[in-house]
Amino acid sequence: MSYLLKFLKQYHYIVLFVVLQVLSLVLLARFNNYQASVFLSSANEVSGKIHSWTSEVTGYFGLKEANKNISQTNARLSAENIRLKSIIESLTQDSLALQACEQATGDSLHLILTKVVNNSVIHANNFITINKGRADGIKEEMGVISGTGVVGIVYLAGDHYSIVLPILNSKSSISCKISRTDYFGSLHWDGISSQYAYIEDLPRHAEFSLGDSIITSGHSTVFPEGLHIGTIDDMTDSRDGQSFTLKVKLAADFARLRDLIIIDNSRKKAQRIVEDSLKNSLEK
Amino acid sequence: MGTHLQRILWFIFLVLLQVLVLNHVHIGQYATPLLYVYFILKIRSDATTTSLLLWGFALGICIDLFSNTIGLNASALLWLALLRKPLLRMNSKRDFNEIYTPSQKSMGFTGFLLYISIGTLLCSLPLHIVDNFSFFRFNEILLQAVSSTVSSVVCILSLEAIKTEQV
Repeated sequence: MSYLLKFLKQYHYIVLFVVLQVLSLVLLARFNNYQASVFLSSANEVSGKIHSWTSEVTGYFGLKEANKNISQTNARLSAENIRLKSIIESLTQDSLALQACEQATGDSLHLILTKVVNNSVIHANNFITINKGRADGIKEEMGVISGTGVVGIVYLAGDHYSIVLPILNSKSSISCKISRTDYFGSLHWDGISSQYAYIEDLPRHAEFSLGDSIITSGHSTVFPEGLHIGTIDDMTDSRDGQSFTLKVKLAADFARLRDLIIIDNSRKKAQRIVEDSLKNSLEK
Repeated sequence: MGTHLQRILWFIFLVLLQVLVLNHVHIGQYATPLLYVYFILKIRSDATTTSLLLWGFALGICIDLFSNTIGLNASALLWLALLRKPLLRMNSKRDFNEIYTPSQKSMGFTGFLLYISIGTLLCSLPLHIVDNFSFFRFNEILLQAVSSTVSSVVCILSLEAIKTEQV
């Protein structure tokens, strides 16, 4: 016993080391599960403010490129808008029906613009910090897109800053489908390249070709159907040989994200909750 | 790095430099310089391991606050803090009881270089192992750790050269 006490007295710092090491690893493990860790994350006001000052400065260096991207996106969206309007008009000559249709889609989707304040693409699990939070209407599990493609889902919402779980994270799983043929699957990241993600478990009878675009399937309440995610770059057999694995080239450039759009699909969620409860009560 | 005020100023400077600049520098997609290790390496030789552990933990938590990786850098720095005393004794030709600040002048160039290289590796290796949270792709982890160490050593030597010239 006295030897033990002598040992502890001489090497008391080993006890401190073990305590602090356990504390760090517990914090690391808990951050991934405990949603209320917003205080200790970069959504914290101080680090959020410092990051937004520096990104305001560095933002000036990328303005020319950002402007070019915005004009290209604008042009593409205007062209698509005109095309869709003409399709709706040709389908229904009744102007009242057209107004109702526009109102319906406008009502259920609310878009919030935000800027990236901190980003990483190098880790096995990456996160993005944005400069909007609960005070601006951001809630957990809202979808996040950029001008070019789907980026991820809101993971933690602080008061004025939030953290987004991007596709480049091992926990990310986005429900998607091949736009041409409607076969659907889940998009995951393998942790290696920041430009590619994978859809596994695609059935062997699925039809697709290289270059087909992958869009959101609309199966979850996070993203509405039809948002562009990427294009099929390669196809391999899955590990068990029973299905295909598609390699998808992501449309959003994760290394250069600046302006993002958050999709507030909460009305559709509320609608789905009401529908589900009605279905349950009818089944009883 | 003697007085408390000096230490605190260095602390804040190194945290901001790491978090705002160096965390976004990825040489060849692998190496990230870990300049904040400089703080632990430069504490005077008479510091107790207990104080080193506490400073290391505090420094690690501050870096983590900005990087969404709470606990990661803290856990890695604790290894360096624990093993700094024997490491310093191994590489310094100085006497057991002498009080000095580890630097090129007090330890000779080779001794100092070995000290900072092994010291940074002691922090960078656990950092990358825990970051990837598996031993599965150990070659890649090793490559990341070694390349981060090399880039950190270069940064530390440059910072050391600037500092000596000023004093």
